[in-house]
Amino acid sequence: MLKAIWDNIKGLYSLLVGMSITGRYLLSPVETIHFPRQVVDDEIMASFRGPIQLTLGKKDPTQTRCISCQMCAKACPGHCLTVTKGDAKAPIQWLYDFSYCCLCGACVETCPTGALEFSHKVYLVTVSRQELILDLLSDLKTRGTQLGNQIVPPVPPAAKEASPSVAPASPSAPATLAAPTSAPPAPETKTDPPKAAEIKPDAAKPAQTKEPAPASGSTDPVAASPAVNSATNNPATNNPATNIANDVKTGAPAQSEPKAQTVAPQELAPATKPETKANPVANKKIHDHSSRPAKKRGHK
Amino acid sequence: MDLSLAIFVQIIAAVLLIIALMVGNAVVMVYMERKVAGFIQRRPGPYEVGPWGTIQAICDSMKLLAKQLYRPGNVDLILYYLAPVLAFFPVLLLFLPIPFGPWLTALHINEGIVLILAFAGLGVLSNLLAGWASNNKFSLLGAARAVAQTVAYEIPMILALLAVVFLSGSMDLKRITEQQGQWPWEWNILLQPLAFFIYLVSLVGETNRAPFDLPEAESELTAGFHTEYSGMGFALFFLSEYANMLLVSFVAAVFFLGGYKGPIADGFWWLFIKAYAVMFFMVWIRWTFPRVRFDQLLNLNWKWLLPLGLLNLWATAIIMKIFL
Repeated sequence: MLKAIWDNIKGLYSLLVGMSITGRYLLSPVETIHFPRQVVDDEIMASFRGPIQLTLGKKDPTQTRCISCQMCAKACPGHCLTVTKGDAKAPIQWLYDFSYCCLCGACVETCPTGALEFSHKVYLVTVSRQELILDLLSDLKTRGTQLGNQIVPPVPPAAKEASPSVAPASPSAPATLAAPTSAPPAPETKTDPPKAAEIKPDAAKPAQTKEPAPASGSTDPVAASPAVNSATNNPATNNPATNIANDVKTGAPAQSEPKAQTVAPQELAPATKPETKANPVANKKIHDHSSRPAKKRGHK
Repeated sequence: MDLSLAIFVQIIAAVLLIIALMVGNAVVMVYMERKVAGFIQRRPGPYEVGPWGTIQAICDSMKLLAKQLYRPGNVDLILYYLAPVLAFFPVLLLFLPIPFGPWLTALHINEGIVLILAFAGLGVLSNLLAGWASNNKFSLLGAARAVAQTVAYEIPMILALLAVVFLSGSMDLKRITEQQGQWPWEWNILLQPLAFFIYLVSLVGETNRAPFDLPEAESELTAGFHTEYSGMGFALFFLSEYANMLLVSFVAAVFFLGGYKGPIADGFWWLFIKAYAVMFFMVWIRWTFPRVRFDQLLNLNWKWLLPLGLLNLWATAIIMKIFL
């Protein structure tokens, strides 16, 4: 009896403790960040697991470490990854359908070379599903180029407007970067793909030989000029939303172009084969990709 | 009390003012509730509409007015529409005997607290009717809980108030106020701390608020007795709930906290400050404590509040007899 009374009095004390805690929280400052007016600090963003991206290369930041082993594509529960192998190990196309991604990280964990990582992009906004199909190679190119711009001091006389590290070292570099120089939504005009096709074979060579991108002058005079222009078109703005928007825009038309002139690579998943031979019209390509997961499930 | 024309006009004016007070109180309380909840959870609460979100509650009430009054099938038509009205109108009556200032009482009667306690019981009748007429098991369960809870918690509430009535020898709210002084150490809360504590607990139970909000427990009964009410039907329940909160806070202020008396200058502002302090306390504990189980609720009442209230009343009576 007495013990029960004593227990209840102790219970009353615990109520007071609870009220003191909420009272303290009532008076402590608010944690909410009002998004359009305020933005979260970058340090906090570092723990955010956003859409995946390719890690920067060790020697050349624009080079991916991916070896096109397809482990990530198989591990992905949403079938949202499409890695297309080129003649060498390095992929010539790396498509990521973020609209199917559940951010589980299976691809990041399975990657044997550590070529994948989570990005910290919070402000990804698109107006259509198609824009969510991200071209990670061109994204890597952009980021690597920006990094190079920050690190390497200018300027070799050969390429004036260019920052020197924009060496077209890997096959899709000229293609992806050349795209925005033309009017953005103009993949159907048929004038672009031939240009890219010209550039392509030249640029493919250094990639095959695994030659790291030199920090100065380009080895490829043909590819240099478009790359230069587009590099200046992608300023390293602080607003992440516009950055991604740029990525998406450059990525979408670029997807078609490496494919346009590639001969069908040897080791491809059966579902990807018909797509690599398809025509260079970008929109059609994207439709193919958005319907892909269904196809793959059909195979299983 | 002769019902002359003057008194009639006075009561009509008072009722109009009380309606305005009820609506204004609901708006203020919704804002305060959401703000306090927000700050306790370290988020800002309403923020976007108007400066510091002050217009948010008004916008919400406009939306509520404009909503469709949806009536589910198989309800008991008369009782279904009678219940919200019955919840709203007795509350008007309850504010009449409250002394807002030395000369500011709508209806000065000798047994004010009897009037309040008697008509406060009508609120639970409206809950019961609403739950019964809705033809919905959640509503019926909520109504049953409301009746059991409110009937139980009225008793310690009356016992606590009765101790103060013993002390002042009157049931007249104005006389009880007048017998307390201006300063906090002259208030009844120092003479009757246990009664104040019992009243504080039982007023939370009486107004069906968390942690004793079992009649409308969201996670168990969707919304309890007003599950099937939308638009103005719900708004009337809502208004009367907040008006009931205001009323029990007024009574607490009058009985234990000196009513309209306060430092510097007496007046209705002191009554409002004290009442809203009690309301803030109610909001605070709502966002602190989890909801109790129903057996815990009734155990607390019958095993603790009732014996303590009786003990307190008994001790008060003996001390009054011996020393005064």
